[in-house]
Amino acid sequence: MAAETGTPTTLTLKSNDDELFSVAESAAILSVTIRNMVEDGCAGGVIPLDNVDGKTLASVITYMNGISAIPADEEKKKSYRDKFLSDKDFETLADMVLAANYLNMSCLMDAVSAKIAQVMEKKSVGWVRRKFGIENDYTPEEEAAVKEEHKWTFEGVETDDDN
Amino acid sequence: MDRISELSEDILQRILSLLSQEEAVRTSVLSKSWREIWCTRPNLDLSDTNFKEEFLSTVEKTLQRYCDQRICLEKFQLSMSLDYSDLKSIWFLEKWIQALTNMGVKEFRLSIYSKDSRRTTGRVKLPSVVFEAEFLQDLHVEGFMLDRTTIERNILSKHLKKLHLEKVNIEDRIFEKIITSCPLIETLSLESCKRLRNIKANNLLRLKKFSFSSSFDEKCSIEIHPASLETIKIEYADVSFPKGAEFHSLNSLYMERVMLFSFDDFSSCKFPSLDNLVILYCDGLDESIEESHVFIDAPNINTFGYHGLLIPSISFATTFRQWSSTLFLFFTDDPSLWLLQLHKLLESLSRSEISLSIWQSVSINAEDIFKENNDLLKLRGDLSYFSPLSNGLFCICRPRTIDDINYTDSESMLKNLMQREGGNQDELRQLWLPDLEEVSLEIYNRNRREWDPTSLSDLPDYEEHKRISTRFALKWREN
Repeated sequence: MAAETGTPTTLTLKSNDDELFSVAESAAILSVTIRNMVEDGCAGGVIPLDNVDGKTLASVITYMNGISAIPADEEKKKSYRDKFLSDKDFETLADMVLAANYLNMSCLMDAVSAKIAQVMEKKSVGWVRRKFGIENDYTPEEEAAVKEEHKWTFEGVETDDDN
Repeated sequence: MDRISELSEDILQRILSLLSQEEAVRTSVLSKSWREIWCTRPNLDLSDTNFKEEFLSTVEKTLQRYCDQRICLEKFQLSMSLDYSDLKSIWFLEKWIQALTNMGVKEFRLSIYSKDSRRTTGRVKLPSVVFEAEFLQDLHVEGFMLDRTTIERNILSKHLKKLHLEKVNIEDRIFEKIITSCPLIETLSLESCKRLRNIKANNLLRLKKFSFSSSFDEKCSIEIHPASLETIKIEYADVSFPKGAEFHSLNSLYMERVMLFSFDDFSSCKFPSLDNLVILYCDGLDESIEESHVFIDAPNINTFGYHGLLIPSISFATTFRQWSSTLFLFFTDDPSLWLLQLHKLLESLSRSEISLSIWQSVSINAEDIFKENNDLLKLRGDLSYFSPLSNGLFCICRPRTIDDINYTDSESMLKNLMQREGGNQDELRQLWLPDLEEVSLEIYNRNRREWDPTSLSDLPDYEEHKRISTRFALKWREN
């Protein structure tokens, strides 16, 4: 109906902590998950997004609005993405990669993955373990042996205070 | 909570595939379950600068594992030093490439260089098996020789979409054979290739991007006009455009030190989608004689850039939107002829917003002294030039701003502009001075990224290394 009168259709999205967000349908359907829901007739009511919290969803919607306002120009879209992600910390990026995966937004997924890869560069082993929640199950001897085997990869890498 | 520990193997693999080889290998120290994850990345990037003496055995072992465990490998990059006398390494290289071909790798990047900088590269022959890789989509070859033996067997890589040849020794007929066998190429880039003298790529009907660069001692003739072309970037070559050709998809055309085969033919071409045109130091174009006039039929042009030693004779077809031109010109010894040519050029570009920089090449530090824009003008260098040149310039154009003034010269500049009485009142000056209504000084605020009005007395003291930018805003009486 709205499309016929020329006004853009607005969708209401609900995060898993019950925050409600309004977003233009044209921007929201960057998410294949949302697009499928719209096509299945969920657009009238509230679209529940059970795997995304309000803080992350707000961020994703900012991205949706920003990127869909840019005409088909890959360079400009890329620079928007770079700018959008430039001030995000690791935890936010991790939340976003999960959200992008759940929402099935490949462009955001690629950009956030690349950003995470970039953040990991030259970071100490301990840092990566903490951030990724990885438990070290090597014995000190085993760990030293693996390190020795790939010695060249440790040049210029931050050292850990904790190991 | 560590959300990322919830990440599935898929996401981890995706992130891992974006890490450099070095970063990826280092993740093996994280924990036992991570020890081998890097070994299953779909991309491998192996360089002998990382593995040193163990390079050959590392590549051998790694490829063997991918083969044995049938791990998907999409992208393979190899960079190593190799001389044609190093038979052992060459033997390995051929073996690896054969293995990769069998594994269905889509993207190859093979770079070899010579340890001995005195030796030239391009003496090791590229194994012919490369072109037997049926699934290959993207091929990047650096430092090899491509000769008869490279293509002695059938070229099977019919799916090739991207071909990049760099510092490669290749003869015309070998190159021709390759591109006629790979009709799906969309991106063709040739950088510093040797012995290539003629390029005709008109059979590549899907070609979108073409780039070529060479040096002054390697002259190559290029004839290329598939209608699918979107970007063309050519440095150092002779280029011929076919008469009346329509480049209906071409978005960007960049020509640096290019010799146009015929100005008439180029002028007869149509560029309906051209957005960006850059012409830098192209011989012949800047001789303002009748025969070298260039007409550019690009009604949708957005930006035009020109750098040259002399002023070109260029005109544009009627344009449909706002566009801008940026000119870098050298000021010559004969100001009257120069100003005449400049006047003609500015007139033919008058539908665009012009930004003009004028360089003085007389002194050794060839500093630019002017940058003009119907909007913007930059001035730098020895201001003794300024008076005569500005007199001439203001007779042919009325810039709204003068920019990039040497900070220490602001005062004398301003006085020069404002001086209404007394000395220095030559006739030319009287031609523009009455029209100049107002001059105001502005200073750039780096925090707010804006220009603020200021006055001479308010200017901060000059300090070396402290970057202060000032400009003048000029208001002219409407005639």
